[in-house]
Amino acid sequence: MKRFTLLLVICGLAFASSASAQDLGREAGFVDLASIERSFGAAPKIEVNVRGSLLRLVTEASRREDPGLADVLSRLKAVQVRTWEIDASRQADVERHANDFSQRLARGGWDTVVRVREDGQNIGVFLRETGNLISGLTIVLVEAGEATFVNIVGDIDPSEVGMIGQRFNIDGISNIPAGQRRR
Amino acid sequence: MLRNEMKLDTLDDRINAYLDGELAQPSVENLLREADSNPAVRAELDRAKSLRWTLRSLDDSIAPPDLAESVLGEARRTSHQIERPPVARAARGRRLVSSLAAAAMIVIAILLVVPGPAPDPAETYTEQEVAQALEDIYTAFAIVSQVGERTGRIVRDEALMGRTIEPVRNALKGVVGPQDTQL
Repeated sequence: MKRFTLLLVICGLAFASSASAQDLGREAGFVDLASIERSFGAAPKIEVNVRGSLLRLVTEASRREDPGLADVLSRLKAVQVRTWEIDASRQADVERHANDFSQRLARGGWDTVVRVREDGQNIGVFLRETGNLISGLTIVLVEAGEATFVNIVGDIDPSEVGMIGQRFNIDGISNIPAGQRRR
Repeated sequence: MLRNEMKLDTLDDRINAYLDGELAQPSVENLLREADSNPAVRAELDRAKSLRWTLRSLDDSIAPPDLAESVLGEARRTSHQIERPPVARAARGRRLVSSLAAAAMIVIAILLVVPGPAPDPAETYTEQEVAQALEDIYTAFAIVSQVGERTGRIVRDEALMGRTIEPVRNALKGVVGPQDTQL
């Protein structure tokens, strides 16, 4: 009995500490990028995790300067990005992992909007619908020397995201600022 | 203040007194010797330490200040105020009281933990971190936009035409650019 009750306490605390992560994990549009991280076996060059209170802060911070962006952000729950540099020797492995990942998405109820495999590029765009709303957007992009995964969670309108993104010229995906961002 | 050790007739009592710092030094040494030589005593001591640590950790994490300690104190006071049953029933009665007290603490602890809002770490973010998060979001959106542009032609010619549902096609107009979605 005592051991059982102690176990209950510990389980309760563990549950509480992981509650926020579980909340996000329950979102239909959320993709656990940890699964793909394990495939690479190395830290990503770029890792972005903006969610929770940080996302709310960003939303409020942008409200005066860019109300349109703030409106989009207010409906989002998370923005995740991972980018890895790839050795040429591992290119085929990475593409296989990306394909497996894409297939898992499809099996998990994501709509494959577009898959492109040509000219050394492997691109996938996936949308997750909940009811009549899009609740997630995931992009898989593998090209020579680099692999990028993006997952945007929330009540998302890809047209708005695309239009906002057009305003920020990053001069090609391969030239994304290469800060080691970890959050 | 040291407890009247004449009343500390059970292992639980001695362990509680020890953990409260209310056990005389010779008795402490006896208890620790017992724990070294008797795995059951060691297990009981470890269990009590774990329970105490777990409940106290509430102070630092989720529970309001001093609440976990007051719960613990109340449980202890209640336990000490209970009249001792006749000797034949004493052991069973103490176990029951101990179990009930532990169960009550667990229920209270879980009630404190589960429904309560998690501590909002918003205040821990600096202005610079918020600005960096905003830049990260721009980067993510720019990737979405660029992938849309890259795949636009194929989306138009192969993917969207008759293969995706209307809401997705409409939503993608912004991502891939209006010029690429003239279906």
